[in-house]
Amino acid sequence: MTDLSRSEEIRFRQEIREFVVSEVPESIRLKVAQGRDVSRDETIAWQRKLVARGWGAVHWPKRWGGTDWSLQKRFVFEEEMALAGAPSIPPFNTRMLGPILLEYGTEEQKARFLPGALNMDQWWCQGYSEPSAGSDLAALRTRAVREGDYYHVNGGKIWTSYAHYADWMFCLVRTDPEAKKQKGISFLLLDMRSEGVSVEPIHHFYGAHLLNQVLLEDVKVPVEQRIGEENTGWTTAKALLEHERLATSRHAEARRKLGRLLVLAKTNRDASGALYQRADLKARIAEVAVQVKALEFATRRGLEMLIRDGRIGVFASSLNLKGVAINQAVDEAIMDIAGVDALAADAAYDGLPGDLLNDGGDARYVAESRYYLRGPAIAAGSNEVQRNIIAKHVLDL
Amino acid sequence: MEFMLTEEQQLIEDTVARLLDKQWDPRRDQALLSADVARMPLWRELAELGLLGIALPEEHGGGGMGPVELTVLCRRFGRDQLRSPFLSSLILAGTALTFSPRGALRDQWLRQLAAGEATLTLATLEDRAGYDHHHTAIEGQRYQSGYMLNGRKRAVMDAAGADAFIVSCRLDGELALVLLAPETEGMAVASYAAFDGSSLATLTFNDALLPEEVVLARGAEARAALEAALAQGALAAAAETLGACEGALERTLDYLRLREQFGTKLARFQALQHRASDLHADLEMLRSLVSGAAQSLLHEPAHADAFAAMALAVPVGDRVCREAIQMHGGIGMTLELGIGRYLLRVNALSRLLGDATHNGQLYLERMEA
Ligand SMILES: Cc1cc2nc3c(=O)[nH]c(=O)nc-3n(C[C@H](O)[C@H](O)[C@H](O)COP(=O)(O)OP(=O)(O)OC[C@H]3O[C@@H](n4cnc5c(N)ncnc54)[C@H](O)[C@@H]3O)c2cc1C
Repeated sequence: MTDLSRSEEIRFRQEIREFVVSEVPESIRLKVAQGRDVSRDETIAWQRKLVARGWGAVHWPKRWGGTDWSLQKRFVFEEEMALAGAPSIPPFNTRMLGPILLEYGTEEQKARFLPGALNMDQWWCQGYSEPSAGSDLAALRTRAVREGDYYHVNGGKIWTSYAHYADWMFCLVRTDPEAKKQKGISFLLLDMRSEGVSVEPIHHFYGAHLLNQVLLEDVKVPVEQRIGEENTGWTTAKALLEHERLATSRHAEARRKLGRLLVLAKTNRDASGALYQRADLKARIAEVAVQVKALEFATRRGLEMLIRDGRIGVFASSLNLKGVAINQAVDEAIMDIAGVDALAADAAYDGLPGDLLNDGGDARYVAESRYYLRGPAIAAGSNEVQRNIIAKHVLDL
Repeated sequence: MEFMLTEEQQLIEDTVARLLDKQWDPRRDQALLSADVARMPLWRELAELGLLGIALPEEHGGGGMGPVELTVLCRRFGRDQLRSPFLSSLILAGTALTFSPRGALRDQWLRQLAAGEATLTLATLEDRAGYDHHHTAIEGQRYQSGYMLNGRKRAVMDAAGADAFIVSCRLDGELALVLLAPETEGMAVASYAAFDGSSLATLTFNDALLPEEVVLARGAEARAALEAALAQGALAAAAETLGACEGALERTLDYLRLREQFGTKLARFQALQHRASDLHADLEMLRSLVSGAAQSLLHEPAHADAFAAMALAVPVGDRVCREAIQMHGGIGMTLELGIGRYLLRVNALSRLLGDATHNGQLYLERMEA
């Protein structure tokens, strides 16, 4: 399944690692290693460095600033970036909006929005979910009524990640209330600075601010900001690149965290020595390590399907389900090994003398990272929804 | 054995439930750390109702009751998400005092505890000791007519605002419990917030001087007092975890009955029904073990069953509280709803009193002894 030779791949990986080390400030690499949030400015600065290097959106066509790399090379790139501890860029600009514009946008829309999305001159967010339309997304009710050259949008979105950072939102709205659920939906690009848009923060139970509620009160959206035909928004939104489905396994993230787990286990001590010597903990780590290995190969298997058949289809649901579960298992093991050191609230770590923690293993911030990972089990097709897909479409039950 | 609450115990449960209903709102009070709650009117009222000192000896103003009543209280605190120094002060320090040999120092602090006039805390955990609260490597050196201490205690609950610390150490080659005032020279307290809103601290002893009079217990007596405190602590943490799970599951079931997706109530999805049923059955096991263990401790204050209760509470608590978030969907992640606070609390308890492996080992060792 290779088109990069072994030695080319090794050189390429080396190049990526060196780029990350030289271009990502150490303070940010530390944040990534500890599973902490990277700020808006830091994210944008990193994306611009990637763009300058020609790596801003490797899966886009070259003409729009992408590459003409093979699937395999793109896979190696993304894997190595994550292993090297580069900050992950939220998927909304280049991984979600980009492919949709490339497939369904007019030339004018592409020219207007792709460059800014690539360079993060505009930060995009995704407005799909609504209070009464979560798993059942097609029940969405935010209404867009056309009057001349504009839609008047009324309603609201919820659980909108990073809406408080966003300049623009791509969203689903109902344009035909008479049509059957999926049929009456359109895909609009909405300027967050338009009159009638307000953003309310929603805090995570452990305090972090990622989610928001977006209220839309008679917001005027020019018709030329609709992607695709009216009432075809559902198809547009579902056009997630097959390639993207591989990423939901988060296998590289799991591997990086497994590395952290091993360091912690070897440096954290109790009275009888390094925790890693304890048979029960070793068994626990071994179990996690085996799962991570399986996830890695499963993801490579997905890549092979993609190269061979052009799609991974419903295998993606297994990858998603297990990817979330295995990442959670690594996080939970890290938190358990960190033990008492994991207790401090995030804000507390900065104000504390460095020797609050047990010697060596840096167990800071493990709790937040673990609680954050409750999110992907719910977002973008919850575990239960993935199980329903497997039962129906894979198992034919 | 009595698994059902007596009328009197039921009354205690109702009283505390009513009080919390009126005076505690985990959302409104979310900025408060556990130690701060000792300065709320709620705390005074708990004292006036005789609930704070419920298990302390009657001769010093306590209620003279025991582990069953303590579990009733802690379970309710868990369900209503009350953060407070109850576990650190009344259970851990209170039990250590109760089972220390009689003496002016002990008796006076017991009286103040029962009256709600003071809070104490127990400082046991050290570096490189995992969750082993029984172990101490701090060795006091003879100095003039007392001792000199060097070393550190970690994750000491509610040290901020505590009127005194009961510290485990070794004196003259044997285990000892000493009672130190916050202003003890050579002792430094560095407080910090835990992720569940507990107030924790690192205590550092740097040539800290202690006179002979502050020694509460030594040798076998110190061991017995510490064993009892840690067993009651494990039981209390298990009961609080149980209460948290009950609160989390109940609220989740209510939500499943209310929320509609795909044109039907979530409660109609069999996949969710089965999971909720499993959680319910898990909780029935934990409920049985917690109340059975409380009975065991009634007759033997350091009974092994307390550690069995905590060993089961840790995985059940984690599972139930994680599932509660998951079954709520997006809203389960929010501070506003607060269902996630149950997970934070049960995870904090398992780090304060030890994880399932640790408690399971304690159970096995003591069961066989
Ligand atoms: C961290 C995070 C980030 C998010 N970011 C965004 C974003 O940027 N933009 C956006 O539009 N949305 C976002 N979401 C929203 C997310 O897509 C929804 O939360 C998700 O679709 C679930 O919907 P819900 O929250 O309404 O839960 P519900 O649909 O009400 O589900 C509640 C529970 O019931 C289960 N359930 C539902 N249907 C079934 C069934 N048929 N069978 C069995 N179980 C079922 C669910 O799995 C879940 O456990 C985010 C969510 C989270 C948690």
